[in-house]
Amino acid sequence: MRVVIAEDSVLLREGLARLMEVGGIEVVDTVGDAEQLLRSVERDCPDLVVVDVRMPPDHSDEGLRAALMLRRTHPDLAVLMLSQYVEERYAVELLTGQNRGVGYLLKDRVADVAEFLDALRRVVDGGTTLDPEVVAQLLVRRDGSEIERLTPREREVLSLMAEGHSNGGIGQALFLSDGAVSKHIHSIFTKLGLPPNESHNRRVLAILKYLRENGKD
Amino acid sequence: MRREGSANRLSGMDTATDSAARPGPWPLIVVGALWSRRTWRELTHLVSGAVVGVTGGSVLLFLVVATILGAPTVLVSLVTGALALSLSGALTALQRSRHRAFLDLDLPAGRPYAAFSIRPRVLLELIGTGKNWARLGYHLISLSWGLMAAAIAVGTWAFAVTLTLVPLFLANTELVVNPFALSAWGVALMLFAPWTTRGLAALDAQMAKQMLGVTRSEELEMRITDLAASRDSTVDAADAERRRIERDLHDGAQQRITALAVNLGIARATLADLPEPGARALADAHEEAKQALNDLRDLVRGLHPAVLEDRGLDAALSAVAARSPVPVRVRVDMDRRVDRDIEAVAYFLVSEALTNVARHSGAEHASVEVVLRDGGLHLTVTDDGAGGADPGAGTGLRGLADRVRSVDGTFRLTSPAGGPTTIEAELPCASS
Repeated sequence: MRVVIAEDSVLLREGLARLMEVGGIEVVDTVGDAEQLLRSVERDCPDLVVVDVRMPPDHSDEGLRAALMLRRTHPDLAVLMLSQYVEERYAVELLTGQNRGVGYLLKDRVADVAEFLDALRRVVDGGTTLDPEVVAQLLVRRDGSEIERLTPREREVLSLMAEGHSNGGIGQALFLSDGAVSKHIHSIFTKLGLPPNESHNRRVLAILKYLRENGKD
Repeated sequence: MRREGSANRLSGMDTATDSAARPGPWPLIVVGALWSRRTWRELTHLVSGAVVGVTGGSVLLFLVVATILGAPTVLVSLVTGALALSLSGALTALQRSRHRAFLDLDLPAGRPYAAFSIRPRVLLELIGTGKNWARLGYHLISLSWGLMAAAIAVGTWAFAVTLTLVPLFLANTELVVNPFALSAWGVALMLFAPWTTRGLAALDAQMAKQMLGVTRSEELEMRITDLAASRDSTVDAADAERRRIERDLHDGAQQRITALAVNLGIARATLADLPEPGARALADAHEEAKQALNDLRDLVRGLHPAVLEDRGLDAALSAVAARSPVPVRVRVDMDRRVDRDIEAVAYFLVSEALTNVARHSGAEHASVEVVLRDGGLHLTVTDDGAGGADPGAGTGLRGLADRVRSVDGTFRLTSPAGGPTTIEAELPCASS
């Protein structure tokens, strides 16, 4: 796995590079702004880019815009965004259109080494990983929608699904059997009026699409 | 500046600095007045008053008469009338500076006088202001009054000096009266002359205060404008400071502690065979670093969240709602972003209200509604909890009300025992 890291804080950039090294991931380049990121992707053809949302020169959302551009020009490139705070609209923008291999995490999550490396691998394998805070925001905005008809347990399952966990992962987190997880998922899909879908990734996308399209108001 | 002005005006001319005004034996005061700076400044004041009064007043009088006589031909009246008002404004400014220069008397300016204009709206406003008539009156009166006051003051001095010097010219002439007696009268009159000057100047100052100054309500209005401006700048400065601290923390401590937590995490993951005390210490350090990162993030949110700055109220509120342990419905209806300080007040209001809901209400649901309409931002936070929230009980509620007031907003809390609790606030937003 070949990775380019785009992060303007030198300290954190080095920390991330070291972290990848521990996880046996090859860091082909580390850059400090969006322009260098675009150049580096052209030159090094990585499998994954890890990008900070806020970068020079304006420190607003340069990283995100660069990532969106890369997703259009390099459909096979996996993207993991890191941010000081999460913003559901950033997630929505990232997930629009090409939905393969996207992740969006709070910077703090980097400190949990094993989980972070897991998330990286999931994204490179074409999966999605969303920060629990993003998922919470996506859920909270559904004013008066079918989401409110879900039981608390179903909401928990839905959150974990949206974060990108597999059935097994959900079962482990909630101490449920695989059968029970499948039953909850089936019930969620029925209540939301979504067609049942066996493939894990497509299922997550269906849910995210639902959350997105039944957005505010 | 203006505040000093009004203080001066309240105490009138007493603030004129002058050595002779100091208490002392009365003969010294009487004689000292002869060469006190104040006397001569006030004499100059009266003379300059005559010059300004006669020239300005006569032109003004001409314009006023022309306006009255020209009434049948509307246009002439309009032009001369507008000229008269404009001249009156300019003369007022001139008289003000004269009183300031010679008498240290600050006549607070009302609104700055309008330059010449024949636009009906401007004219009507000028005519409609009662104060402008008083000002016009003052300038017309000073035509005669200014001349008279100066004449009396200068005349007294001149007569006193002439009388005093009589013996020099008339020592040998046959006169009914003794020239030296006349001279004695002259000296007496000269001692009296400064007080004539001062009396006339005081009279002029009094007239100017009455006719050129501002009314009590105008003065209060100006004072309120002043206070509002100074409060706004204080609030702005505090907000700017919060944003600066947020940026500093983001660029500094947050990055460092994140890097620290990452490095500790790496050490923990790779040093699997560390002896027990070391492994425990490392694990603790890692957890502490993550906790510190959390605390820091909460602190930054409390200061001025970056998402609010970057993406506005809508985005920031959904993050607040997502963190709330009590399920919250959010509805934000805004077609544009509003002032940064209004956004901040709205954000902290909702944030604090939801914290209260989670801590004290025992509610199962809460809802937040933010609507921008009619030039105001309307906020409503409700919960289905136990109610009985008391703004006096030292919770964050009073702080909320204060913060809302700092931007001239209104705040209302309804919380009967048994619930529900509703907080309503309205924040003014200039429509763009």
